[in-house]
Amino acid sequence: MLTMQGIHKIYRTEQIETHALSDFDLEVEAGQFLAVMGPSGSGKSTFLNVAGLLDGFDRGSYHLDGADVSRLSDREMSRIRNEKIGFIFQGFNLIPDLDVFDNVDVPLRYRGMKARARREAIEEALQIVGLKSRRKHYPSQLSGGQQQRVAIARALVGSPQLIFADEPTGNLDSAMAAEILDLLEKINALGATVVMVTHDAELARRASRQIYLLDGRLIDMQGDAPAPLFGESRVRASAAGATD
Amino acid sequence: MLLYQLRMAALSLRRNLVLTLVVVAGVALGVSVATAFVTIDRLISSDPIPHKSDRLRFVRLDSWDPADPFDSDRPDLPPNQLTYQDALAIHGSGIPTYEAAMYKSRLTVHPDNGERPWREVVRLTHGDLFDLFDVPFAFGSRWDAAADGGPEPVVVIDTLINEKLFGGGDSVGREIRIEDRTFVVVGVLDEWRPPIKMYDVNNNPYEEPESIYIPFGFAQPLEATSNGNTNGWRFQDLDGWEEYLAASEDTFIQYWVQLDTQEQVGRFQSYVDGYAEQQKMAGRFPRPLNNLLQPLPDLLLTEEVRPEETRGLAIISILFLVVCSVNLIGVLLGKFLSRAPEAGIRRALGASRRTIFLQHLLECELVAVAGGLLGAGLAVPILRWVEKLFAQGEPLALDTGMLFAGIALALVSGLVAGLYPSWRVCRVAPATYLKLQ
Amino acid sequence: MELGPIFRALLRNRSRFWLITLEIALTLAVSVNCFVILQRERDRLLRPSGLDEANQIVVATEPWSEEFADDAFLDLQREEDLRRLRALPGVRAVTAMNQIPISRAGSGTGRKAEGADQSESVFVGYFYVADDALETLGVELREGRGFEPGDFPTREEEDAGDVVRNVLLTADVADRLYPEGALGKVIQNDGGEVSNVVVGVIEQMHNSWPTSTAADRAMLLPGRPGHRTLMRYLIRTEPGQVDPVFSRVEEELLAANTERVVTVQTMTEVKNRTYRVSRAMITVLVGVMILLGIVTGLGIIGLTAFSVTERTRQIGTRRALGAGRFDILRYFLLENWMVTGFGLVLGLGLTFGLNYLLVQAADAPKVGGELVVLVMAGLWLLGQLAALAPALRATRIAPVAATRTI
Ligand SMILES: Nc1ncnc2c1ncn2[C@@H]1O[C@H](COP(=O)(O)OP(=O)(O)OP(=O)(O)O)[C@@H](O)[C@H]1O
Ligand SMILES: [Mg+2]
Repeated sequence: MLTMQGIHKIYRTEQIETHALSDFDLEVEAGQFLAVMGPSGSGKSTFLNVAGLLDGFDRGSYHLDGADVSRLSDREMSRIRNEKIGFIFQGFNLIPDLDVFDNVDVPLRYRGMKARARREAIEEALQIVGLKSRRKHYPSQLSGGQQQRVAIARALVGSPQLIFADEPTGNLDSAMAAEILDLLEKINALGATVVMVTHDAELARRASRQIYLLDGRLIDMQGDAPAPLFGESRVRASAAGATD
Repeated sequence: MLLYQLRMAALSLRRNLVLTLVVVAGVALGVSVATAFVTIDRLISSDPIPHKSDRLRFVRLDSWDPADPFDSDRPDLPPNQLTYQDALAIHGSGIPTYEAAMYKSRLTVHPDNGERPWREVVRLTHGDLFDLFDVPFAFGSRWDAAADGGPEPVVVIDTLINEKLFGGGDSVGREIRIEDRTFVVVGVLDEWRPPIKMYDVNNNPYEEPESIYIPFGFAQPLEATSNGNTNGWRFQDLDGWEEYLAASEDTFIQYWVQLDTQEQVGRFQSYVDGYAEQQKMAGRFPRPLNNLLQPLPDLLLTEEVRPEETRGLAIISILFLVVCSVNLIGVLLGKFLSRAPEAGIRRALGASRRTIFLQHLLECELVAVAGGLLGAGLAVPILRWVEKLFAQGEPLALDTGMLFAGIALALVSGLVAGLYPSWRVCRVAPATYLKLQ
Repeated sequence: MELGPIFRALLRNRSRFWLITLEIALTLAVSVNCFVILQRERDRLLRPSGLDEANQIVVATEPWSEEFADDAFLDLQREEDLRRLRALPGVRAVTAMNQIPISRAGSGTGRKAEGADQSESVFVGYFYVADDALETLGVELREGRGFEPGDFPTREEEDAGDVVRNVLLTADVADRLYPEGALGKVIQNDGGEVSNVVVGVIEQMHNSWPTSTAADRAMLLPGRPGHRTLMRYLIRTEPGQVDPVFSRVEEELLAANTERVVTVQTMTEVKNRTYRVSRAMITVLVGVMILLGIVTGLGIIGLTAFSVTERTRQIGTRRALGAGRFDILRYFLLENWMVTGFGLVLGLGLTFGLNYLLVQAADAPKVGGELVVLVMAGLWLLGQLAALAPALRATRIAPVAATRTI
């Protein structure tokens, strides 16, 4: 589904160059539920942005669903984002001027669907996240958890094959977080590949696979190995670097 | 506190210099256009001689056609000029404080210096003209009543002709050859440019006053034909200028009197009515008795002296200023709201809503003052340009009132435009923006 | 299309919405009213005068010499002046006239059909002309003939009085006096003391007052125009020869007699002076409208740019959710289209309100529907053009903008 090889992502500012991703390799198979973990600033969001075609990369190759991303035009990328990818942002990113219904409607609008089909899809997505009664509310009138659920509804309304979620539970209490995770599992069970960034080891364990990022490098934790201590991961990171 | 706020406002304006300049330019543009057009309109429509306009009366006698009124739109109005014979006949009653019959003509001026003669528009008038309309003299004075009748060969000239013929200065006593006669200068006018030529509104009231004034008595000997509008209704087979003056029913003379008291008005009215009755007996004045001593402001109204064009432009230019102000609101709103986080912090640090509001309003007013000054400055060239397009001759005199009007206009538009944006930022809850940061 | 959500989002940003709306409405009102006044002035300016204006020169000679008081001398001088002017290279025809068409200074009188009541008299501007008048004026004859030598009365006949002159009338007057055809008919002044016979009808020609409603009513009389203090000539040059002829006129006339002031003007100058106010109004109104367009355009650019900046994150989000560049462009153009449209509708009321005010206060012409539609289309286009630059900038916002907090 998603293959990255030797990806480098460098942020250049006037003073320093930040290697947000360096020599990053990853393969995600269809139907996987992948949890991405790592300390703050390790490059998780950067990885998600590159993977979700929101941002470019400097070196390496990236194939998404068989297509070579570096060869795609802006228009083709827009289309893939629209049809194959659902994105759940770290900060919800609902459009404040639009109510719940119109917010969920946004990706469908760029797809040229008939009004009726759109409405059905939106109702269904809202049903899944349990916000059907709030469709006339504006984001400012919703709680953090409700906003996040709207964002999820918006991500899944177009039945994407891939869902990227950047700390979808970051702003929520644990009960709410568990609920959101239930939702994502439900979507995963319906066949979508889910890539989720989280700080919560508890939640990460519910994923079918976990990876760790450290200073822009990947430490893969296959299977049900216990979450490593911080020091261990650093050791492994240097070990991985040495073997490369 | 005010000083601190001023400094903060100036700081904020400097921080975004380009935007500030654009805003100032916008205000200046709106203000300059509005000021220029409103000033023109005001100059032209204002009372040209406010302290005595009620006492100046324009004499209108109904000597017109029995079949048709002079003006079919206003059948109640007598003709707007007099015949020469009537003007001559009613002059010298001794009732008005001042009285003058007048008309304009074109005569040949022969310079001494060997240059070619030229034709100059002159006014033949009784000497009272200068007292009636408070005409300012730089040198010398008007001619006296004796010179009117004689007539004595005297003239009053304006600065332009004085410059052209004598190189300026006190030219009283110097001589001018007009047609085949020599005239002596008794007075040189000071700069005098009334916005409307109030003493002769029938012949292009927007042109500048004549440059040479000659006693009325020369109308006949100089054969000075009228250069203004001549209206007639009756065919008369008249031979020569002398006969024409004596008997023609054509009207081309303006006749002004100054009547200071109600008693004078009454007496002069019955005097001209008596004259008209007497003429009726002689077979003239075939229409019903209708003689008017029209006050100057009333004359300007009935003769529709205020030009529609300037009025329309004044209205349009005000709306133009409104559009500029709406723009200003937009820019200020954008600017202020983008700075709302700062206002939020200030609020959190204890600034009251009022302080924030005044702070922003002050910033608007700073912009407005700058725009107003620039706009008032710009208004002068715009006004001159428009004036050149419309009117001929010397420019109108501008007053400082225009400058103040411009700045006042800017301040008001700055205030109005600043109110809403300032209100918007001051209503920002301190928490809103702190949280986002 | 996504009109619904755009509109609903707009209503959430009322201040921006109302500002642009108000600006557009005012701009519509002002520009439509500027336009009607402009149109009227332009129509006035473009009214055909019937004359060959472009190739005409107007000459006034104002003698001071007493010699000119003598009629015989005056006639001789006129003959000589005409001969000299006609001999100038590039001159097509010359005549003498007592007044000049279009100049706003002229002579007017009344004429009525023979025996008609005085109330049926029609105002006409009249011109005494010498020979070659039709050729010099450049007017076209609809019927009848021009003046022949026999039409000009002698001095003796004139002095004796009661001459019945043959005259030419413009069609406007002729058809008013004799709808069934004026040729050969007698016309009279108001009192019936003067009679004329119509020998020709001129298709169209302006009299001395081209801005008045009676502009097309003119009468030509054969005579010996000019008097002791003023003689006027009208010159018609070959096409394009105005300048070379112009430069020689004064010198040529002074060579014949120096005892006079000679003033030479092209007919174009005369016309420009007459239409000074119209021309000035056109210049000023065009200036105001250009400024207004610039100000409004800049205002829309500014407000749209502001709204783009404000919505950077939102645009990024839309891009992340699959919006192409074109979708973003379309969003802003559609939004502008709606706001402008609303402003225009609102402006309709303002337009007619302002027009009512201007009609009352400034005698402005009434606004017609066609013009309003045209100006509305123009403003709509202006709005789209103004929104284009910021909208294009919006399309360059990258999808990652969605993830940046500030
Ligand atoms: N636009 C940018 N310009 C420059 N540096 C950037 C930019 N975005 C991110 N970085 C840097 O890249 C690195 C990785 O950032 P990223 O946002 O991917 O971290 P993260 O793992 O998502 O952290 P967090 O858990 O705090 O969200 C950081 O060091 C950050 O400072
Ligand atoms: Mg992150």
